[in-house]
Amino acid sequence: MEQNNKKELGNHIVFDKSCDLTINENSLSSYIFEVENNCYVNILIEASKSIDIDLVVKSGASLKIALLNKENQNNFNFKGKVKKEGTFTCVIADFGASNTNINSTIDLIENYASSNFILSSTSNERFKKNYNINFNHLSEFTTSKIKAFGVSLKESEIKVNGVSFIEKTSIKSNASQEVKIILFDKTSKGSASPILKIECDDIKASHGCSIGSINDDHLYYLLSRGIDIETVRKLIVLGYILPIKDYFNDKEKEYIDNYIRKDFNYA
Amino acid sequence: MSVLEIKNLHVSVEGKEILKGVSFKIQSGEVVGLLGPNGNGKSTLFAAIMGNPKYKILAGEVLLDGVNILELSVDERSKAGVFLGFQNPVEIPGVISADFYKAAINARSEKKVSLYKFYRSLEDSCKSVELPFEFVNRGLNDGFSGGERKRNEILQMKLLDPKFALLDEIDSGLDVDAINLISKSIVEQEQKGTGFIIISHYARLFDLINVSRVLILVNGKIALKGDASLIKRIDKEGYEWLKKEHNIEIEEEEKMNRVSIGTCATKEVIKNGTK
Repeated sequence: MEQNNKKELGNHIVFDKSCDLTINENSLSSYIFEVENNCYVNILIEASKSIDIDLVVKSGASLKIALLNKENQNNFNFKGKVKKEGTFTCVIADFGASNTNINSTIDLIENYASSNFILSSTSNERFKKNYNINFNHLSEFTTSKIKAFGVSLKESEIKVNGVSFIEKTSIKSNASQEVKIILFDKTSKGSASPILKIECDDIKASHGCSIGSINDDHLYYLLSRGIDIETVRKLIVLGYILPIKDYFNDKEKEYIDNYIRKDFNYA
Repeated sequence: MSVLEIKNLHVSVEGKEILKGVSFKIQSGEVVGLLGPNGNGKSTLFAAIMGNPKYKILAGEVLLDGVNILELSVDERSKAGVFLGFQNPVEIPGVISADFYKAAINARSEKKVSLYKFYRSLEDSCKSVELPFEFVNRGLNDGFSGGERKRNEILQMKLLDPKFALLDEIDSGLDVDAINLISKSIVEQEQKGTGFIIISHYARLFDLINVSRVLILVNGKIALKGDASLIKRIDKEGYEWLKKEHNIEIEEEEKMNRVSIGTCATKEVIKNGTK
């Protein structure tokens, strides 16, 4: 798709038509993205350094930012506002061999604004990965969703902190959080802290978090079919983290598939 | 010809002895019906043979062609030729069924199965149990009805072609057509040489297959052995007659204790100091 449907003012990019954009190695370290009414924009970030992003998604518009952390990306901060019937989706495939800190604060400021944060993460060796995700529902009929799956191996750690705030006039809003962290080894660590701050009664809010080793009943069932323990663990873990590739295009899908299968030594 | 022999098996779970000395033998191509009141050890027997880690072997052996499989891991027992059709097959979303079947087949051969051969075999097996082929691209048992999960168990049995299949209430939750389908698969597999031990509470399935022997498990022991006529009698009269005719008192099943685990949400109205 076209990459010239935007006005660039240094690092301030206004998208006035639908398009795709890739941010790579030679990128800047901070951006302001504005997506005009009814435009659909997909941004793929492949850069391997810290990036800060401010964003505004206007009425009826959609912005999807997909981050593929391959190697040494350390910090990724973004904050922004979503307006009426706008959607912001952040998809993060974080399989890099590094410490990572990702902070996100999104304000849903007009009716029917929505935002999703979808994460698949693996952490290995002694790396620590922290994800702080905040959604503020400041208007009616707004929706936010956090879906995070992580696998912590060896002595690494994954932390997912989610805060969904629904302000008192934001009736009929819907906030959900789903976090699952699998601890692959006895020395692995994980924590999930889901917080729902609700000031309004007429809303829906839910959270579901689980941290632990692989479900024993699942293990037993798969072993009972003759599959050895290592392959069973890989099957289960891959099943949780690979679906993230559906949010990427073909080239990245293949990368993610090969990278993860290699990481888990599973053909 | 293969032989599965259970010798004086004693098994406990959560500190309570459930099986108190079970012994019997089964050969290739035999179909043994395993009956008994609820809570008397039938599923425990299967779990112990398959190696469920929640069950502790207190004494005894399970010999498959002379090898004590109690010394093998769960996956090794499966590869040795034992298949368990679960009473309640688990749902594992995220594990794609096709990946799972392929891993199970490859676990049994030194060379990985060719994709063509694998999908061919999978397609045929799906047809035989009337599961839509597109199911293979879904998470394992994800969103499957009870009947579909049981048919998936039979599909796996066909793919893995075991020496012995232990089917735990494979007919529960199935409609008449599905029972007919399952029974046909059992007969076909029996003709290929698989020996069966089948737990069921109802005569219908047994009527459709060639049951050679019946064992009745009561209070953790084989209380009675007989032929297929035992099934009809139990189906008609239940187990009450065991006390009258054989002086077998059936111990009552322990009731589960209900425990409240509390709530995970509290509502506080902090404004104006009210709660």
